[in-house]
Formats: sequence, C-alpha cells, structure tokens
Amino acid sequence: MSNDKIKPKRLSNLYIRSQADELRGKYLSSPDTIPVPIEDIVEFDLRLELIPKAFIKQNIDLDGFLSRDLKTIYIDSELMNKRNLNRYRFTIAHEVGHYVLHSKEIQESEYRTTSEWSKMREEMDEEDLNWFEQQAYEFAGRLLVPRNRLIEALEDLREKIEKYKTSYPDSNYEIKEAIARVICGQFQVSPDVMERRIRKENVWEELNL
Amino acid sequence: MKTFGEFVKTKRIENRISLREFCRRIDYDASNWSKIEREFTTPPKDEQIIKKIAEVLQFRNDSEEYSTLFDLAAIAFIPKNLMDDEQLLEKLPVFFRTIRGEAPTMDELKLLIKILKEE
Repeated sequence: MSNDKIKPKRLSNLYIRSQADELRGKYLSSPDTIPVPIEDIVEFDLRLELIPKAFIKQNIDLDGFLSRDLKTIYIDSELMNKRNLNRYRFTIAHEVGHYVLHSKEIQESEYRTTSEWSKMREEMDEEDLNWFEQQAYEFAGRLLVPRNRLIEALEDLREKIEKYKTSYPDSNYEIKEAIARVICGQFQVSPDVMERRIRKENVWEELNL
Repeated sequence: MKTFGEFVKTKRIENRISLREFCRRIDYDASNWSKIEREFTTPPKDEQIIKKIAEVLQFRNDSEEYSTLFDLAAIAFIPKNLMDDEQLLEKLPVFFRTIRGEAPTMDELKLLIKILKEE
C-alpha cells in the first residue's frame, strides 16, 4: 500500500464553500431551504445508496465512509436512531464532501474492504489526512448551514445578543456558544457545528454584533 | 422478475421517501430493512408490515402494485430449486391470482397443473 495513498489537493475554503453552495443550488428548488434535505439529495439526486452497517464506529472508529466505486455511503447503524439525527445528517454531508471534492483520489486508491480503508487512512501522511478530513468537514458545514440563513438567524436574535453584550461585555465567547445552541435546531446540526459556522463564516463581525 | 426488495426500493425512491423516513413510518429497523432491499435477507413474514408498506407507498388495495407487493413477499419464501424453474416462475402470477380468487384462463390452469405434476 505504498503507491495508493490518498494525496488530497490543498483546496481553499472559498472553493469548498462554492462547491457546497453549488450542490444545494443544483438540487434544491430553493437553495437556502433549511433543514437541508441531505438524505433526499443523496438518495434521490446523487443516487447514492445509504447502507446502515453495524459496528463501523466500533471497528474502525469512523461514523461512515464512502465506497471506492462512489456508489454507496456506509453509515454506522447506531446513527439511524432519532437521538443521533444531527450526527447522522452531518456524517452523510461529510461523505458527500468526499464525493464532491475527492472522488478522483478515492477511485484511484485501492482499498476494497472496511479494514483496508481503515488501514489506508492509518498509513496516510498526517498532513494529507488532516486536509482530506478538514475539507470534507468544511464542505459538510457549509452544505448544511447556508450562509444567508445563518445571517438571518443571527439577525433575528440581534436585540437579544446586544442586550446580553451590554450586561456582560467580556462574554463574546460564551455568547456565540449560547447562540449556537439556540439556532442549531433550525438547521438540524449540532451546537458544535453551528458554533464553528458562526466563527468560520465571520458573520458575527460582518453583522457588527 | 423483480424481487421484493428491488420492487419496494424502486417505489420508495419514486415516492421520494428516504430510507430512514421509510423505516420510521413502517416501524422497522433500518439496518435490517436495508438488507431486505439488497436481498440479503427475506421480506417480513408479518402481513401487517406488508400492509403498512403498501400504505406508506400509497398502493390502493385493489391496485396491481398492491398485489405485486404481496406476491413478491410470498415468492421470496419459495424454495430455491423451484425458483430456478423458469417455466414455473412464469406461471406464478397465475397461481397467485388464483389464490386471490381471480380466475385464470383454462389454458393457464392446465399448464400450471402440468408443471406442478412434473415437479
């Protein structure tokens, strides 16, 4: 397994975000619909098969993975439980990220089984693996949290945010965390994903909050 | 001839019902359901579940799709050696129509009897 390691390109966030926006634009009649119907995009538009499989997390410490032929997303069956809905949606969006951004690299690799995939990841250069995963994370976050809707959600809370900031002027960090908790439900993402979007999209500063 | 799993999956996709949502509506474990769609396991034996599937897929009780759904569920339990007999396979719809009380033609019936006698 020396020549088949995945070497992802160093893609900019700008490019990754444009790809996520483009995908929504292509398949949704209203591209800023939230929660983004990620399962519909996967099953009905991209025509990828979603296969719940037991013990993926336990066996290879991943929530899901994309098959090398780019036809199937395997997902840990535990995530199908209602209590894991946000994580389930994010995992699918993350694999779609690999599908959109890394299809060439994945097809050119040589893994066939779950354990081979896991082994190949282990053997990947740490920096390459980091790029590979971070790019898919960025894609998934932007796909599930359209920037315009994020701005709208924050604007709706402007009065509350300003009142809170007046009372606690040094609380910028905590307030972003608290606001993420308030608005994440609309997007069906976790508070962590939401908070990361608030920070990475620079919307707080743009809105002068 | 389509299998039960293929048939339901095709109809599920046509109706734009995601795997997770479909399983939620029929109250069935998604992991096991996925195996049914991929023919890794047999369809549910419980008639109530098949009825629930028909309801979720909006098949009318008197529709061809409704009958096909039940027929394919039953066919999945026919022993494999019989399923390899193409002549018999062709006549299965006649057999199922008959047991549903829809009379087959005399020629169809004669041929079915002949095949079964030979088995």
